[in-house]
Amino acid sequence: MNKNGADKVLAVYWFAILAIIAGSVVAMVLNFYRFPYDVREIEAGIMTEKIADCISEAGKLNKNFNENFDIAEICHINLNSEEDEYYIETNFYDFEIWEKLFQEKHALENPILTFSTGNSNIKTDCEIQKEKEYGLPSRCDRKGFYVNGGEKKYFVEVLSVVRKTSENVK
Amino acid sequence: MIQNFLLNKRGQIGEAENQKFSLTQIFPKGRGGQIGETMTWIVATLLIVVLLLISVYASVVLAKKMTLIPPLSENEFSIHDSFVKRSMMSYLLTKQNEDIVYKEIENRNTMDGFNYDLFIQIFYTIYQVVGESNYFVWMEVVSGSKGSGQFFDELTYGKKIISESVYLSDDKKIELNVRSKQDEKTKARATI
Repeated sequence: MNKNGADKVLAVYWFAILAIIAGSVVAMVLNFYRFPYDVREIEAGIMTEKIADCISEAGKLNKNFNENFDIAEICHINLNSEEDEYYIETNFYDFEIWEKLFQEKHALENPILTFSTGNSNIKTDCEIQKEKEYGLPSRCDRKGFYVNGGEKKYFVEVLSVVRKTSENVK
Repeated sequence: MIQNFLLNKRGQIGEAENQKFSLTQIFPKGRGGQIGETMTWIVATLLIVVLLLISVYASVVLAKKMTLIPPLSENEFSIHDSFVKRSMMSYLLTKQNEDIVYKEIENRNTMDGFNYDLFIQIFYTIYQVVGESNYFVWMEVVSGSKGSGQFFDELTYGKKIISESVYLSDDKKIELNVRSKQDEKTKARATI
């Protein structure tokens, strides 16, 4: 009789433990999969890469390059209806004075040419995240490279910003 | 007489046990033993609950971390960087005298004069000025697997993170290496 009573209580206990463990496993799986993959950094990186490929064609400056260079058109960037979610900026620095400016910490303040497309308001998110990375604001990708333009040499800086918060962050 | 009393006593206890359900029935031991065993079960249960709570919390933290997909260029196993390669190609195509830097290096088999100064101007500025001296960068003509020995002392320490090369012939190439003094994380800063 004693043994039967103990077995009954223990059976209830084991079922309770089983329910707790099962519930926890379900909670862990649900928690893990409820966050969407944040691919904005990759997306920004791909855009930067595409722009860089367009500006520097196998090491040479794009033959269509001029002072009215339209990135979106020449580099075949189609932002469509999501224009507010993206920003692309390309800065050209005169390479002859670039090194000197760098030594004086003013290099990235004086581009000789700037081309941009998209929503410029989201560019400020990059400044916010310079010191600390936050989850919600836009993701930025900033890269620089040297390009040979025949008579003129440039240091080119490409900045791509992707907001698309609702699709990538929960 | 004593025997009858014990029997009666046993009978009474038996009745009481039938009427009332208690821990004594489950753990028919001494009081010390019962408390000890009960405590073991309570502690074990608490441990299970605490471990599960930690696991649930860890799943949230991990999910937040792992769903943030890093850019491809930050792949720790990759030693290639398309932007370094792009700069290198532009550098090699830059005019030097009547020819281009690539041809000059191919003919002279080494880097000197204009092409060396230009290399310093481009890559040292990008990696050692912008990168706040966290990097070593060098370029050399490599025959087979052996380098010319330029900047050899800088090879001895630091982690190699980027290596790009352009072939001059089947067994000769121009190799550009960027080595970090610190960790991988500073790489992003160096590429501006």
